[in-house]
Amino acid sequence: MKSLRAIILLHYFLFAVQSAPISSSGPLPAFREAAERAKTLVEKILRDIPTVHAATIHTQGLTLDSAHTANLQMMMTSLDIPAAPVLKPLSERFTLDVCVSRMAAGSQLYQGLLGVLCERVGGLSDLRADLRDLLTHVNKMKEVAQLGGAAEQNHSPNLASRLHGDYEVQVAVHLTLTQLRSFCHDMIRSLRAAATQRPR
Amino acid sequence: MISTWVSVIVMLVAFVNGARNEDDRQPCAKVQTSSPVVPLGSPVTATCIIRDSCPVVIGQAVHIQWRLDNRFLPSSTVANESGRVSEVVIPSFNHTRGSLTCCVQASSLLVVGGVDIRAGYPPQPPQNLSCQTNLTTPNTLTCRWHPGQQETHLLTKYTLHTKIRDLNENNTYELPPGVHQYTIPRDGFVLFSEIEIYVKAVNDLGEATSVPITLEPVSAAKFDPPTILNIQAMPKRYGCLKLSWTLSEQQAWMRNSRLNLEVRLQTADSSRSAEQPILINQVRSTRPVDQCRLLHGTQYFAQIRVRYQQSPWSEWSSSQSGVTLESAPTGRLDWWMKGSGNQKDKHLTIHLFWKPSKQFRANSQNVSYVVSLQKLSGEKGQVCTTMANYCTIQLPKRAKKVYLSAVNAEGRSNPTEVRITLPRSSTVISDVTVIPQDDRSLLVQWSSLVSSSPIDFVVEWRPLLETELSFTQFEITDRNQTSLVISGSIEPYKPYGISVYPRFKDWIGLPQTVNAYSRQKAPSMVPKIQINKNWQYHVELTWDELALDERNGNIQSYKIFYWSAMDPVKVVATDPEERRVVLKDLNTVAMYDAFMMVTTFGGSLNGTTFHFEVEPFDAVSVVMIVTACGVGLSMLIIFIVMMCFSKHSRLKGRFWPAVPDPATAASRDGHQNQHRIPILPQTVMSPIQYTCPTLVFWTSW
Repeated sequence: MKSLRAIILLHYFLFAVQSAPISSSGPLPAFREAAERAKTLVEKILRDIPTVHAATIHTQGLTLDSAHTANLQMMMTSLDIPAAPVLKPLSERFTLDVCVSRMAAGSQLYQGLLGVLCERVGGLSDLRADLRDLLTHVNKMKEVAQLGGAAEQNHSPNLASRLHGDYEVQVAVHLTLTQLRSFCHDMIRSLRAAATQRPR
Repeated sequence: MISTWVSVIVMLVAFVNGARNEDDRQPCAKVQTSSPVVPLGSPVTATCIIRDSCPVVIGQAVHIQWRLDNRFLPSSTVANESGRVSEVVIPSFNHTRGSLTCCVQASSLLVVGGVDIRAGYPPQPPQNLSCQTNLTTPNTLTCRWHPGQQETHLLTKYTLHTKIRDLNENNTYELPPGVHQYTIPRDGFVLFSEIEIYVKAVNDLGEATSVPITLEPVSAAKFDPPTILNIQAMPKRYGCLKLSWTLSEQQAWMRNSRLNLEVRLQTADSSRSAEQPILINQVRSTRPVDQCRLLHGTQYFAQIRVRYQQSPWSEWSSSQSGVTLESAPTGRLDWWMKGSGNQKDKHLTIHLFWKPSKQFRANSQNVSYVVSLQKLSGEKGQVCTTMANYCTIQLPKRAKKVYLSAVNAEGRSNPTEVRITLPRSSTVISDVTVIPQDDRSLLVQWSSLVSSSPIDFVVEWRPLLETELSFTQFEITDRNQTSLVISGSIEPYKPYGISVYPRFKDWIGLPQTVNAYSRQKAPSMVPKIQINKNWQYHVELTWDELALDERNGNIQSYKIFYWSAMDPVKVVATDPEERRVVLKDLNTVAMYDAFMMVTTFGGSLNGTTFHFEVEPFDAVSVVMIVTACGVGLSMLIIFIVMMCFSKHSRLKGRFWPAVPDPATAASRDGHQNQHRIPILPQTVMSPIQYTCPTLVFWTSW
């Protein structure tokens, strides 16, 4: 009986539990460099968001740390602002390919949203440029690591047609920046993990 | 029908009129040239073709002339092919701009056509293209270039071209004329991605392109000066400081990036500063930087600057200070001792001076010094404890040595042995001279007797305006040395007493002392003059010596300038040791003006003008005259009295003869023999008067 338990446990440790793939040798230098640069740009975006928010949002109650965000769920739906791609810890199912693809998709999503909002509000162009740069380096990660991965389907936002008035614009900017900030936090974690990975 | 015909006729008439007007509106001549823009100095050929229907030339021969601006071109350059066509060739067009006109000489000179010619140079390739990123919000990339040495004289347009490699995106930016820089907006470059940039210059004569440059925007950024958060000593690590720092707020997003840092350290005493900044590569602002191999117990002032890869260095940060851990002092102290005392004294008085040797390390900011009779001493045996650099101590006569140590909170240095040597009246040094080298140094030269053999010489100097012994400084020279340049504490316009001592094994010879200035200037004050004596025609002026701090140099001379309305300016000079002057042969009726000029070897100062006059009879004169008269009169009275009462008849007769009274003489003659006596003039005298005519004189007077 005891030996059976031992065999079962051995089987479990060897086969059933598989940790996230850890490269036996270090990551590609170019990949790591691209990941470091992307991470630096995400930190730049995170630092710029509060400044941009303060400069562009003047509607009462729309603050970055406000609890009212939950009350704007309907507005988010009516404005057709999609949710950010979900970034999870690297695993067997959430591979590096998927992770990088989602980072690219999210960067592209928010770059697009800010592009639309730039037409209505000033002060967003530099942040948009930061997202473009971030996307550039995420794409470089894919290129250097020859990551395939299915291209994330981007929900093309139809935001422009839904910005009927200034209030909608303010809410759209607020929601975009709030979501972007959350997405960037997730990206920091993912990039930190990705930088240690050796792409297959 | 009729209306139709009318319409047709009207249209025909209008057409004819229109045709005629069209003819009139067309230029008389067409001036053609191969190019209206030519290289400067190149030939220009132009052809003038006059229309046959030009009213000016109808029915007459015309002479075509060419003008360039207001100047007729010589006929040698003109070739008239016919009366209607003319060609001109300007061999070398040396103007940047000119109007070439075709003229016809009819009744008057008429311009029938023309063309503007411009000349210049094709553009040179833009040079020295450089770009710098501004990482302060908003982020921009500014490029500058030099258009080239040669002026084109033509409208030259510049365009800036960029290619972002990772995006394969090309951009072109057009610049206004005359502008040689451009600021690319944020969306025109990608951070951490290479961009190729070049500038193109275009004008009517050609185009030129600069050498392209490729850069990465963050590596082309000059960062804001970083900030030192604090500097701390590291526990149990002597000679080390830990420096925490951060990037500016605008670049804080780079805090996790690897940067290059330069640290500049300097002690409070700048003579012990690090020569070169210390370069530290690949550091993050989130991690402190360690600096070691520093002096112990020393305050350092630090500054840092930062760059990313090969970007331009930022400006230096503001300074912050930190103190390394203290340890016990190390190294020996240089010392100089002067003693006094004679055979009868039981104690010796010694002045002991010291200074750090080159190897000495205080290893603390608070160091005191202890002089002790014993080499290994505690409190007992200490004869002096001070934070200064000297001690005056009384020692037993038998003392041969004392021991000098530096002490701080962490311990004591190895004691330096000081031999007690007494002075001996032996002149060894001669001919000490001090020559200023510059404002802050003096060359001291001396010679010693050939027969003497000191072990070394001690050159000691101190500012004469200070009484504190702490200002005394010294330098020990080799015995073969005969000169020394002293500096550091020397200031211009202040006197220093410089002494050279010969030092022997067991005694110190007599010094030779010279007072000197490194630089002299005019005195600050002029002495106050006292007019002490004032007798007839002479005036004596005296004054006190200037205070040492007012001289600013060695007094060379005093001069008195004096004059009056009747006398020209005269000058009297004295030596510095003699502070009096007598002005002679003065005019008694005049008021004199005078001033003093004091001269050092560095300049002169004039005092304020003062006035004096010579009285014909001053009190002294009056007293003398009165005294003389009184003495004379007294003498006379005495003599007269003596004569009056003298029995010497002949002497009396000499001074006054006996003149008998005529009345008395007449009665006597009647009774006795008549003596004929001369009848004297009518002089009636009293008996007393008769006896002392002098008294009569004196009384009547």
